[in-house]
Amino acid sequence: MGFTHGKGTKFLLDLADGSGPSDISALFRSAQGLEGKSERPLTTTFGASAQRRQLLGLRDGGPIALGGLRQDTAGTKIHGKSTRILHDQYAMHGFLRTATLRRMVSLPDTTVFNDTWRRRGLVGLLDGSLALGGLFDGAAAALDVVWRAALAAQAPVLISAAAGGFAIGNLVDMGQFVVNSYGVNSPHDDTTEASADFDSDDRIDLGVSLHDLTAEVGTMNGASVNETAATSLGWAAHLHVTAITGSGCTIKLQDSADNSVWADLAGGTFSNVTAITKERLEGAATATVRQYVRAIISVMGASSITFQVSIARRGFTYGSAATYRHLIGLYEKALSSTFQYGPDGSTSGKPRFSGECRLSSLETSFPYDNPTAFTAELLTDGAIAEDVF
Amino acid sequence: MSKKKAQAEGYRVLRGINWPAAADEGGEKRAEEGEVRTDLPAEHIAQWIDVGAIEPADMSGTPAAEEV
Repeated sequence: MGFTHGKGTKFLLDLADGSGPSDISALFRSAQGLEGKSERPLTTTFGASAQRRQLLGLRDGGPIALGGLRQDTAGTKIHGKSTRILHDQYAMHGFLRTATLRRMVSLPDTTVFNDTWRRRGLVGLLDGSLALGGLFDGAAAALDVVWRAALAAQAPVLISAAAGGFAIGNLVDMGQFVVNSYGVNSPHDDTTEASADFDSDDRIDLGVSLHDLTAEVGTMNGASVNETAATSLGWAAHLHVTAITGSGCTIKLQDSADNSVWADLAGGTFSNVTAITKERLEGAATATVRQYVRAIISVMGASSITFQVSIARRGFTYGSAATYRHLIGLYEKALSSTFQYGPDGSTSGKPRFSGECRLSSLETSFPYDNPTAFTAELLTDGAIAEDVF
Repeated sequence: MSKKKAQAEGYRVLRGINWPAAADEGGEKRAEEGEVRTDLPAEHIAQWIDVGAIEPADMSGTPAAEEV
């Protein structure tokens, strides 16, 4: 008998820098899709008494659906209760219970004559969405007021979502979104709930927190974050100021090559803060950010300010295997990634499916009462090889 | 412009900069955008010039790379 238990499944995937493939099985708890499809076009003609399928069409490795538990640090899972979400100048996590963030990228078919397997050799437009659900609250600056205002506004809202909270160095999903629907559910026998669906306006970035949502009372240099390597494909930053006493505070981003000598990041100075507010900054498409980053308050006129700052590098190629950053690093990557899939493990002689793929979607679910989880879809690019480990 | 001349005439700060200082000096010093400073630590000047954070105050000449 050759039956196989799924617990022995092995999945290997390239890192964002193209090295690998690395064993990232510990990140997943489901994998399905391979070995794909063979198209069987109808060849029925006059005279036939039944449908005919006499030709082997294109083969397709198709989508590989992977599901797992999010790990921002390899080996460390995150409970959904740790989720923190900022919406403009409002801390929304006090109302929310569920969040689902989805990144997508179109991967057009690039199959040509002489190909026997479908190919997806180009990266198309990025897209994304966010679904939030929570407890209805009609107080000022609470969920109902904030979401109704966003539903009526043309300008997008800034969302920063941190699975493990906003402690300095934690990963933060960052994007600007527009609200397309808002609903309230009032059951006769339970708590009134509310939900809203957002669509992204521009790309969703993965950044790091440079300041937790805590108060400062004077000028300060925030703790630095070592991001492994410099990048030179731009950046985006979010500032959320949820409380301020007094007026006048200048918050800046700085970078450093050695964690010792610092310079203000070009274009990285937020507007002088005089009230609760939010602001998004973006660097030029080729802007360099050196390895270390931090946030500082260079001028402090207010007596107290409570804020959170994050910065996201674009074009990063670092990230440990089997982490959330590893997967995000594959998003919009121009080169395909090599995968290897072993339904029966990876010991010598066991079946192996391998090929090239691209990440077509990545959805993260933040439930208040369960571990933060994700599903990823990889689309294959070209032939699937069948051999053994 | 020689490194010595540039140091004498100072550097214009194009973006705010910070550098390490003794703990009794607050641990870190800072120069703000627009200032002309003659007290920048020599060992860090090349790095700041590289990232466009400072420039010689007198731009009639540029320090030779090997002099910086």
